[in-house]
Amino acid sequence: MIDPTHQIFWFASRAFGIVAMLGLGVSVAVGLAMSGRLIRRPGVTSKLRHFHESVTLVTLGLIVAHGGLLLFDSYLRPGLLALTVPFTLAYRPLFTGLGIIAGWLAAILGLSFYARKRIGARTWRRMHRFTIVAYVLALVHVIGAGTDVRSPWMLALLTGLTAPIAFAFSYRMLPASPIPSSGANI
Amino acid sequence: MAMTRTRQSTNPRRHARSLYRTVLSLAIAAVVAAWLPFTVMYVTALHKPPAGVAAISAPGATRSTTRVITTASGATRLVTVNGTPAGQAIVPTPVVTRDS
Repeated sequence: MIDPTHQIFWFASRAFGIVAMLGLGVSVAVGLAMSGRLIRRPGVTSKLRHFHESVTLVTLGLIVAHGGLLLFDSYLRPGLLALTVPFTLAYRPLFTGLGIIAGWLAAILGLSFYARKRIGARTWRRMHRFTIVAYVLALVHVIGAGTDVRSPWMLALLTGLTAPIAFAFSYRMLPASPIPSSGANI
Repeated sequence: MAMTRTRQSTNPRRHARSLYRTVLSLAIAAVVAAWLPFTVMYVTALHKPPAGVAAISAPGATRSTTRVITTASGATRLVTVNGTPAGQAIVPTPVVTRDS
């Protein structure tokens, strides 16, 4: 039996990363469901908006915890620079770099909600559409840099998150009718 | 009912109070949710046999001071980074390993 105490920050970082991925997936799925008008009931929509905002804020905290805990990992020993600047971490630089970009993107797009009066609702809405990119980058980060990706439960989690997001995104992007209306009444 | 909802969403103080409650509850739920995989990882590591030397070493944890060179006769020789032959007593560098 070995003492894994020296790995607690590594384990904690991974655990927070898993929950952060879950939070990001739920937030993106709820956001897409609202913008794609999958749920139209007025009472439910306002509650979902409130939930979406809350989940986003918690997810941003989890992302900070995921990266921040690695600062205390005696194995990787990354500096603050390596955790905040993409592609500078020695461990799988490409995939960790994509994860850092996803984190920054999630933070900028999530917190821009509070600056929408300053930047304008239209600009904010346009910016907010790119949240799906943060999710895709986070997914690539998990697949490429995650040590749990081969576990069946992790695959089940990623599939369970990605499938509804893919559906909601397709529903949001596809036109309501395959035949464009000509405006002429027959 | 609909009027109450409208008033709730437009009152910033009430919205902030409600948001604080939801965010805090979700944060507690997230920490509890993270505790589960953390415990599984810790227990798994606790019952794992010690990793072999073949495991991937930590990036930056090891500093190679020697290298293997092939001489003209085809024989291999261990030399230091300066090119001088490595002595008999080679001090092993600490190797930190992680297998998960």
